[in-house]
Amino acid sequence: MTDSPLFELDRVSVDFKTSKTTVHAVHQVCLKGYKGKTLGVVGESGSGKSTLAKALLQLERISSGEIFFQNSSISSANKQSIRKLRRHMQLIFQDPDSTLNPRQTAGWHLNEVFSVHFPKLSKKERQETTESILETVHLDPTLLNRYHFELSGGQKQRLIIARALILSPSLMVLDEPLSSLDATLRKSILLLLKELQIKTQMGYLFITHDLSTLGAIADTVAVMYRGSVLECAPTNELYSSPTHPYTQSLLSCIPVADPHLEKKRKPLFLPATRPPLPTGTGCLFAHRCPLAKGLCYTQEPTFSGTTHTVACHYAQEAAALTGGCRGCNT
Amino acid sequence: MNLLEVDNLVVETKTTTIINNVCLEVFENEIVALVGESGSGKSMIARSIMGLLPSEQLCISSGSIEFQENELLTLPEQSMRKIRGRSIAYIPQSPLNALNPMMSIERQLIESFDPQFHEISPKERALFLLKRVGFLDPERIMKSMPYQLSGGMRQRVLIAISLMNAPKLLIADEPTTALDVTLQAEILDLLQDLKQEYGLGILFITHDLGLVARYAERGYILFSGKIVEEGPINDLFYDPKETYTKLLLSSLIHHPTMTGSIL
Repeated sequence: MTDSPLFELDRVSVDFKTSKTTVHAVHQVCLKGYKGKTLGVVGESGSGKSTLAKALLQLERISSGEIFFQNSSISSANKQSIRKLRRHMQLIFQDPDSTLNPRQTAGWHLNEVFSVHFPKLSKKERQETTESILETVHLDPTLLNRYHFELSGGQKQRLIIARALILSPSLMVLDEPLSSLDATLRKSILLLLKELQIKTQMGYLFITHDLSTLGAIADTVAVMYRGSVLECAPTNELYSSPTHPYTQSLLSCIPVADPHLEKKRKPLFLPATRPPLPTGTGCLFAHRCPLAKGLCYTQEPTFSGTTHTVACHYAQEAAALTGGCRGCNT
Repeated sequence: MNLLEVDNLVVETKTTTIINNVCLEVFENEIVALVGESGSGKSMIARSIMGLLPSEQLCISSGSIEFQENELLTLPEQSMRKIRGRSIAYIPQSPLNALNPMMSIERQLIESFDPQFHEISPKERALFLLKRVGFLDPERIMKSMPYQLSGGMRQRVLIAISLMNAPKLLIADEPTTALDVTLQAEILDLLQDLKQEYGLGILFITHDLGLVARYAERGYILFSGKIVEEGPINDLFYDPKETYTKLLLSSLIHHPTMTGSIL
């Protein structure tokens, strides 16, 4: 990975102020994503994954830090230049139903993109582009006259992907793109996304709470908890030697569809033993960590490591927690 | 002992058949998985057993549902009310809206309590169960309102409610779909412990094959209202006979280090 990153988040924080308190939705996050690669972000609900994605797309104002896209800082760019940039970054949401207009046909949704971004294109050119894009997402062109309630979940998700592809973006942010689909469909959409990435060299930011999906598509995985990234590593390394206690617990809790294997695994539970520390005063995981001691309550851990980074004061001890064996106590 | 026996159940609307000749059994001290994609009829079966089908649109046109050798389908509503929530309990899918937002946890726990089954007071029973489902400070939880609790806490409250009258059969309809993985494992481990402790029969409705592999002893695979395959878990996973079961298994998404080959 010697090329420069496609996007980079440098100590990005997003705070929301309410009348009483300030909520630190994203706290000092540093991440890099590359062309043709997938950066996966995993975390429980409320951990700040979606806020992070919105911040990257400039849909949410950041409180501190800096965001770079294709080597230029975009966090201080004005509205007009952001609009131009948006063409290069597309977002795909979790729920296909709420991103399609129920009163319009499938074809209308694609046409809308042409009218906004390529108004000069002739009708024939539009049709040709549409056809070739539908082919890449394996969607039957006869479906274009249908309304969204006449399409299946998989067809809807393919239509949304097609809509994003019209602009040939260089970055695609996928916010839980598979969660609303049935198990049998997930794999086909995942394969489609992979195929597209190889063809177009798009960079993906893939957000999910499902570590098994992420394992199949991501090149690098970042684990988020309470707005912070706790661990970030190449996928293989993260899955085979998770270091942060939280990552170990997460991996051990994912059930694997293999009864013999499951008999041997034991989930590692880390319930809270005390109230959580406020953001900025210590380790955000200290209230659940079995190894927490003095330093963890007074000082925020910094990232250690080069490719496999961990925010933990006692990373070496932590790695020995389950013997790096994904919670299988064999 | 055979706790529940569903035999040739057919559920229809005016125009279509929703459940087609479904047969299934649940024994004591056993977790049985009912697996299928959305729309396959999983929840319809659960609601048929509970006698909670909306009778205007749907009717059970044939078949039988026996619970402890009593036919449930011909039972008058009054007697059914004695079984529902007492011998057969139900854990609904979404903890976030299954509780009454205007009622304290205490009132919701005690509401379903039937004093004739117990020697202790409803409050004692509620505190005991809240402790059993893992709350360290049951007194505080009793006084809370649902909005003050997190999703996982609410789901545990629902489990406590379902256990108030010491049921024999528990129908858990996707009890953890709304929760995160760490919580999911915690809740299901709890159900497994409870099964052993009270000899519960649990009908576990899910679409997650990983959970089936971890917790269930037997399984039924449901596809568009029909049971396409059934058997002990090991047979279903290692020797599937039907195309649909094979399709389900082949569509699992795995990272290589998480499957058996590496371990």
